[in-house]
Amino acid sequence: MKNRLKAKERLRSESGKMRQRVAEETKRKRVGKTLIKPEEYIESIMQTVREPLLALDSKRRVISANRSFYQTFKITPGDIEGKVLYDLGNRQWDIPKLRKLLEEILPKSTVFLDFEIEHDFEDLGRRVIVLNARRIFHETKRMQMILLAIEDITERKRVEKELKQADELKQAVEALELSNRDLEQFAYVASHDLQEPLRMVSSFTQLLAKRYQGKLDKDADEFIAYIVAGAKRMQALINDLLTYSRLDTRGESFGPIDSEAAFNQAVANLRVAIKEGEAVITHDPLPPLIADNSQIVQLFQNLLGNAIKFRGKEPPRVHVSARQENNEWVFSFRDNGIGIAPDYFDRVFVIFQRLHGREEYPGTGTGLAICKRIVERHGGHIWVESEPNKGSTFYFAIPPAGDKQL
Amino acid sequence: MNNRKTGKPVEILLVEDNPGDVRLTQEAFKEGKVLNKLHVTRDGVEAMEFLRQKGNYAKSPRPDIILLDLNLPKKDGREVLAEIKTDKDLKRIPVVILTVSQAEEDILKSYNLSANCYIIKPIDLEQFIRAVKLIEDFWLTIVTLPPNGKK
Repeated sequence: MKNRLKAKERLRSESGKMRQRVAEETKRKRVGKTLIKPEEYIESIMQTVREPLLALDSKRRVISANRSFYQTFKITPGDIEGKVLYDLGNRQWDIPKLRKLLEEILPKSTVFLDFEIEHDFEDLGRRVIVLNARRIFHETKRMQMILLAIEDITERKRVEKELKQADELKQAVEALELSNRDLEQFAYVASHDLQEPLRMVSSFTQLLAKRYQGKLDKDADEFIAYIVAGAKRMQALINDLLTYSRLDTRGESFGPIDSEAAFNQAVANLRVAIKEGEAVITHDPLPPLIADNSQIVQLFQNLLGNAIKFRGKEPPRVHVSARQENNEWVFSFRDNGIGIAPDYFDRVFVIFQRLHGREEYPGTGTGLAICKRIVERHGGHIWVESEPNKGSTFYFAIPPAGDKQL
Repeated sequence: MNNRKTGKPVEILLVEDNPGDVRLTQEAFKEGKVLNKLHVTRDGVEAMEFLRQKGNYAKSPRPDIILLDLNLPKKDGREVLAEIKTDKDLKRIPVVILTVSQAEEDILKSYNLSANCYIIKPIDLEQFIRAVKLIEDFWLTIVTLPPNGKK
């Protein structure tokens, strides 16, 4: 109890001291301060604010403007004081919306806030400005005044718009990437799961063929042969689709590679076809790259393989070279094969597109589609120049470091 | 105990849910030279009942070798493998994984769980038959299996 009384007393004494100090401080400040007149007060605020400000009289004549106004709207001080706002700078301030605000709205409501307008200024071009105004009564001069703040937000608007566009672009890219991944996933799952039932069809028709070939009639043998061939072809298609769908998702990371070594590997993989076709493959020195080595081997192998497969009457001759052009390596595979008509230059790179009957040239039509995807994964592009019966040259250009960083 | 000496057929347990694969495996073993008896269970739960001689499998023999698919209904092959290889009575039985899965994680996981070998089912019939014959040749004639029975 005693303690509590003591505490109360102390509190009272402390707060008394505090009140006294505040009073002294206030007095000291009043004495130290210079007294200013209201118009000076307005003027000093106007000159301090960063935003362009105008003080107008009741006839919309400019009483004063601040530094920021002169700078922003490129007007020289002596030019405007005493003039009607609308007449300034070749009447470029005679803006219908501004007129309406000052003439109609302000007299009724004494204030308007954050009114955004767009206007073509003679010297500045199209600007977006935000207007704020207040009607005040100047006591000394006994007159109505208008304070008008004009903020130029053109730049801010532009940045906002750019940010918004960048954001939209980013979202679009993300959506596209997502849908791409979904598609790859779909192709992978579909081709993987299709293999299972297909294996059954193909295995049992093979078993049927093995056991009953020649034991049924001639028709049965023929039908079985078609089923076996169909199932085998479907297997090849599904396998290639699987390979194609794995190029992006299962691709290895990029590293420094020797494209000459990759080329030799591709040649080694093709040795049977090269020997059987009596093909002659030559090459100029090939550069080092930053790439996915196994995919580059596959790319070389597909291009060389095609050159051997689509041969003319002469034994295939393929020459490979690379030259640097516009900060890219342009590889070329020139052959003496059957060539391609210009109409098909794009089509040959589309998956499952074939230009020949299967009896003529076997295959699923995925080889060049795989090439295209590999080149694109490396940030490059692929194309062909050719003339029927005069051979083809396949080109691909890739940046030395791929499009991806290590 | 080499079964060739005793003349008793080799007991093989095939755990496989696809009837087509079961039939193909049977066909391949028919062509084999080793006298064998192929038992089939269609899911992981059945497989464990067979191995532990429970329920309908009270009188089932102890298999000399197990051919195990990975993707199975009810209890999948990975779980079956883990159970076999942590059971002190069953862990000596060689388990051959025979599956379509080429996934690296399946291969690693199987060996981590002490699978005795991992074989991806060949898609082509002739190669499939060849693979099954090689399994038979290697595991049932070349390899010396542990003596049968609980130790």
